[in-house]
Amino acid sequence: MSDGLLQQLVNGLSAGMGYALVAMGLTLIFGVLHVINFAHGELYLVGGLGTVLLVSHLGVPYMAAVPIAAILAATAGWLMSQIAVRPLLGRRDPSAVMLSTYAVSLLILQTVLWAWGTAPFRIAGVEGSLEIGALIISHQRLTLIGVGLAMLLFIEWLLRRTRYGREVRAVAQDAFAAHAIGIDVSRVRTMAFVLSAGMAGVAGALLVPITLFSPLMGQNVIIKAFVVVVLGGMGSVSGAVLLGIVLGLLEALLGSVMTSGFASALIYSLLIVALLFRPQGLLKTVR
Amino acid sequence: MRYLNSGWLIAGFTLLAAMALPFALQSTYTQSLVVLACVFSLLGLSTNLMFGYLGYTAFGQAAFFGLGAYTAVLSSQHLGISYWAAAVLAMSPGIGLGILIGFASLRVGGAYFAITSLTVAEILRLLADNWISLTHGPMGVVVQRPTIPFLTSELGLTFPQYYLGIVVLITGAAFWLVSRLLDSPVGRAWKAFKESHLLAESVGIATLRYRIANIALSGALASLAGALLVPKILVISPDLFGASYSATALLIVVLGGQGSLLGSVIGGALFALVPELLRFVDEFRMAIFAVLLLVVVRVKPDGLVAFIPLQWRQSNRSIVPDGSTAVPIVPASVARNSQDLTKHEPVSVEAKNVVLEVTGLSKMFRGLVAVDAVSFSVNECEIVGLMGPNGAGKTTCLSMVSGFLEPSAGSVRFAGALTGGQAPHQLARRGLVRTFQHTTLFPQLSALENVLLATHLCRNSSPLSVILGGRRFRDDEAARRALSVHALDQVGLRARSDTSAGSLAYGEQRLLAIALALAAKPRLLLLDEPAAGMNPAEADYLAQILLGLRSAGMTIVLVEHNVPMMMSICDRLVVLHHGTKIAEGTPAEVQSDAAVRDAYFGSARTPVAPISNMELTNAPN
Repeated sequence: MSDGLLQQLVNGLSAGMGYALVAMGLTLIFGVLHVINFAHGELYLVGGLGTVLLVSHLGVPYMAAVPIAAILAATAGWLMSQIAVRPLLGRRDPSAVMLSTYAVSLLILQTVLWAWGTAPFRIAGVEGSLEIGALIISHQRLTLIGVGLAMLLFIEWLLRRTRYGREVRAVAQDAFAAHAIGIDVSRVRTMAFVLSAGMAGVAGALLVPITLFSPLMGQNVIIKAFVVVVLGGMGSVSGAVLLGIVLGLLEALLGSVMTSGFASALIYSLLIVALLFRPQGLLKTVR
Repeated sequence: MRYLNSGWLIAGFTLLAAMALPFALQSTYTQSLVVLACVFSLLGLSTNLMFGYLGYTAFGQAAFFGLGAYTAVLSSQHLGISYWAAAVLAMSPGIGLGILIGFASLRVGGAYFAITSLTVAEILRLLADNWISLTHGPMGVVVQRPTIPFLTSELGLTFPQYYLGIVVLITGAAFWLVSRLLDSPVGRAWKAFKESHLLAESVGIATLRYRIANIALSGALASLAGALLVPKILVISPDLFGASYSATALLIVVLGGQGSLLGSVIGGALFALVPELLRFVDEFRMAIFAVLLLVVVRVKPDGLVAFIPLQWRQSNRSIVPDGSTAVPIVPASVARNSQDLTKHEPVSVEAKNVVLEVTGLSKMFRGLVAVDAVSFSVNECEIVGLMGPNGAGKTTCLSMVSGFLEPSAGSVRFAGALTGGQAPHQLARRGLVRTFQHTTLFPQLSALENVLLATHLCRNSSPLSVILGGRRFRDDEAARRALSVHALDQVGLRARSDTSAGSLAYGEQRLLAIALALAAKPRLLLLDEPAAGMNPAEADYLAQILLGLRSAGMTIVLVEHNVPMMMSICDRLVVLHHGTKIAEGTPAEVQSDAAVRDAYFGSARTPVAPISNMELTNAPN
């Protein structure tokens, strides 16, 4: 294996960890609320933008900015769930939540475009890099991989080993029955929303030094997250993690043989191929 | 709801507008505004088809819009054909893409459709942006005005004048086409699906095919809208695939009013005009629209059209002539055939042809055995009751027989042929129709209109005859109406034809559900707890109706908890308990069966087993 290829794989792995975090939040919301949050990408944008503003305008150290950005995104997620999701959950028409989250996504994007413009912006993340032979892994990418892994393990522990996790799984399976045995369904749902927003925020904060900040970063990541979630099986957390990383690797490999525009188009088309031939996802759906 | 359903109104208005507007509007500025309003109305119409009539949210309608524009421009430039011919051709990739998206996503569900639509638009935008040799990338392709010299030399029309005329004509034609479809079995299939896909399948509608056709038509119309916009903007760029047009398409429908043709026109005009009036807030335009969308979804889900009084929007043509609600006008051609409305000749009760044969039928939900090797058979003109305590597996049995649930083991033979692998709508076509415990009706529609939605299997109107609306189609429609009236008659609801289903008494609603099933012309009717919630008088009435159906030649399988009713009308009873058959025989035999008494009342020796609640509605699948 050539060093160039190995370098691409390492870069792909770190980007994939970011996608996994975003996709996991999306799939968690789908699993628990049975709705699709079309504004999920904008929570990732909030994480990225928050970090950029904190670091470049307020002089906050990067590592301190990451958790603050995550809290910002989580707060935005909480607001989003209160304004655009909770009031519409009882509707018979499932498109109501899709439409209102879509409206929120437009609103956030337009606000950022108005306030920021379209210019991309670079911030420095964690300085330094690890060199193994010809292979260079920036500390930023290592941090992303490390924090990403820690978050994934934390979520896995939360869902499998805690009381809240049991409640989440109960609500996911049957909200009515969960309510009947005394689970505070709307609290469980709001917490799932906040949690998933926080994960998207962390992903945005950790990826922004690597990918550059752009107001369109949310729009781009949401489609990748959709591809991951559909391929991994809608509602499956482990599927989202696995496919997120695979997508990052694939993107890095394709990026070395074609322009990034074509590479993205090719990756997005996987969604349609998957739906045509294996609509239930590549893995068995765990709900 | 039927808005502007008179095709003639649309056709007349369109012709008038196409002739008058190019001359009435003097400035090219207002002419181009009207063009934009038409293009947006057409785009809105295409989105409304899937969103308003099927309930599918399309976040990437710009995929079709841009595809139409690019196809028209590139094919006219590379194939050297007239732009206007290319614009018509440009509908075909839209149709193809619609079929692809529909087939890929609709088998799984509406949420997948929204995702796929968004993704496809982004794929096409990336291709237009990066395939520089074909599309010139972000720079876009510059287009010459597609002039038609003949119109200038012979008729003295300027380009903006005839461009406006053509756009108005094509837009009007599209609205006319859709209004024709909506008032036909095609539109009824969409409406029935939107309300309840289970009910639609149960009356024989192959919903997947109709849904894909809807998306394909929507794709064609959106492509046409894109191609029609080009002579106004004269340069096409990847932005045509962008979120801005997709959002506009959706907003036109949501603000204008989903499920309303007039709403699409209002929305389209609004989106053409308001940005002109609000130039000073141009940079906030999308943000304002987003806020509007958020508010409308919360507060006014029916859109702006809901501000117009209903009687203005609805044609006052009643399906049943007013005055004599009970007597429909049946054309002679239909009256002649009306004997064959009940397809099957009355057969004497002695005839013992086996209609349904269930052998070793089992269903397991993960570890739980809901139905365990149940066998029974039903003879022609028999009423067979399926009874048992809650959770005995009755509804699960019914769902397997009707094709809604796949058996884990065993076989079902209907009219001599196995049913395995056949979808509910295919079985309905063969004459096996079921009803549901929880009836979904269409509350705003009249009783007759409800039944009309279920007449899908009556006559086969070709799409062409639907669009042309000739004598053949009118005959077909009259036959479907006569069948609906007949079905209402069979359950004694004929006098209530014009009453909206939502305002019928509960018992009447249950009867209406049976009328819907009858409109699918069943040979074997499976009724799931038809008497549930009925008072004793209503249940008695229902029993009389079922007996009447039997003597007219119908075979019925009845799942019911009303034991006195079962005892009095069933020829034979099959008793299930914990998924197994514990007794079978005439009501008298079953009544004296010890195992049945144990199952219902418990016995001194065996304690009552816990009741599980494995019914279709909450079974994991």
